[in-house]
Amino acid sequence: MNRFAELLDRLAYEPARNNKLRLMTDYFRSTPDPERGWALTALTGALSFPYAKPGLIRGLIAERTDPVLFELSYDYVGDLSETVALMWPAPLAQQTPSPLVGEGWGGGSRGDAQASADASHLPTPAPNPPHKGEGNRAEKN
Amino acid sequence: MAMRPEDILARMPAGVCCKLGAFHIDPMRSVARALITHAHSDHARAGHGAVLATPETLDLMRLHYGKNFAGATQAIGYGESVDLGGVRVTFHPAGHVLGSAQIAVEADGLRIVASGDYKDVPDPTCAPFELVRCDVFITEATFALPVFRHGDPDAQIAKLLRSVALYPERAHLVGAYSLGKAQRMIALLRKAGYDAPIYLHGAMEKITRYYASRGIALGELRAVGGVSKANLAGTITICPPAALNDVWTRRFPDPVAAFASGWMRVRARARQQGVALPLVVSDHADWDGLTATIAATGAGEIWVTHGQEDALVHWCVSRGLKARPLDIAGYGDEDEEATPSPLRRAQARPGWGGESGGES
Repeated sequence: MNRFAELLDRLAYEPARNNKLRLMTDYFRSTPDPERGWALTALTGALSFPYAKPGLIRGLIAERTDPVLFELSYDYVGDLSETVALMWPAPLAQQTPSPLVGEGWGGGSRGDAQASADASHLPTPAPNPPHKGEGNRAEKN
Repeated sequence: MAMRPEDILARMPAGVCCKLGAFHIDPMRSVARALITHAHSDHARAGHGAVLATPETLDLMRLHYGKNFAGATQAIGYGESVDLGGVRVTFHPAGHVLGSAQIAVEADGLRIVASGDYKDVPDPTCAPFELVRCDVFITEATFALPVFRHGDPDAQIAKLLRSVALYPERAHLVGAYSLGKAQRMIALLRKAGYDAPIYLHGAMEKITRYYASRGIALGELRAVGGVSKANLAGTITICPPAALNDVWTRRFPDPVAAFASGWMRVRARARQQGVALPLVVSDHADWDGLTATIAATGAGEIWVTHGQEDALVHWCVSRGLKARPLDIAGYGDEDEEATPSPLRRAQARPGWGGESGGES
């Protein structure tokens, strides 16, 4: 889902409606299933992450990072999920594109906590992992 | 009695000073004798009595300040040493920008390396960083938080080129610091196979031509001034970051504002700059680069300057290294180096940004 992460990233920064439409059209034309289907599900707000609350995310990162470095980073970045995504220590996931995430979301309705844990496993070079944008969106809808 | 590191280099009001050798390194104010690590203007000031630096750094200072930027100059190549008052000084590549150097200072069997700004990843526009074993390592800390991992610059170039292909009727403006980043972006675009002319903002021209004159392949470059709006569709123009928010951008057809900087890793930073296409490309070491380099120098003592000193000092101490911040006011005044203040609670939650505007 790295391409989807990139799409979300572009959409987040692009202010103009027609330019957003161009980005989405291009994505849906050129992306194979099943990623395309998952992307549509996410964009229409059909995914939910009832267990991915700040407390859980904090707990996950606390097991993996130095608390002082986490606090300094959180202070700097200003957003919890973005901080966690950026400092998540998983270099292996960076080297291999991400079947993990698809599987995690496949089990989404049964085990959302696991799904979001897997989603946050995705420290792509892009500033934001997919789970964050979708999470926000799901909460709004 | 054995010398302490502080007897060799000490922080004085003008910057890091070696009393024995009667010189400063990258001083903030005019001094009698200055050793300059690289030509960014927060490290290389005009008005010193004498300057010792690499030939490229001297050339770039001359381009920036004019030929009378110092009373006297002396060029020193990588790997070369001079003796200053019994102190041996050697310049080594720092991998930051063209001509950038780390300066090793040795006296009484003790070696201190002042790294200036550095990066430990390949850059087609400058000599690669050389690891110098030392007793004390003076490191920068611009991106010294674990959230900063710059990743692969080629992936960022690919992102830029996909956008150029997707919007052939628009112009792409790439904000990049005029010395170093701009030329590196051009070289990376060429490496990716982009062979169309690349347009330059006026402020980029002198330095970029200098890079080309040093044998760095940058392909066909054109000044953007005087080119008609219609002819700029589908093109890439490199400009100083400040120009992205300037009326200057009106000469371009529906411009896409990109910005190449390590800060682009943090979403709120990119938003603050009004950037539509953030590109994470940095000429500074990221968190992994800083910590790996510190460990590899073998230094038992680390002095940390300009940036996120607290985090890096904490990391060093937790690894059993002696470490302290070296508070030097004045570094980081450049666009690229400036360290913005923390964001937490200082701004609205980023969320999806412009989406609601697009749907309404």
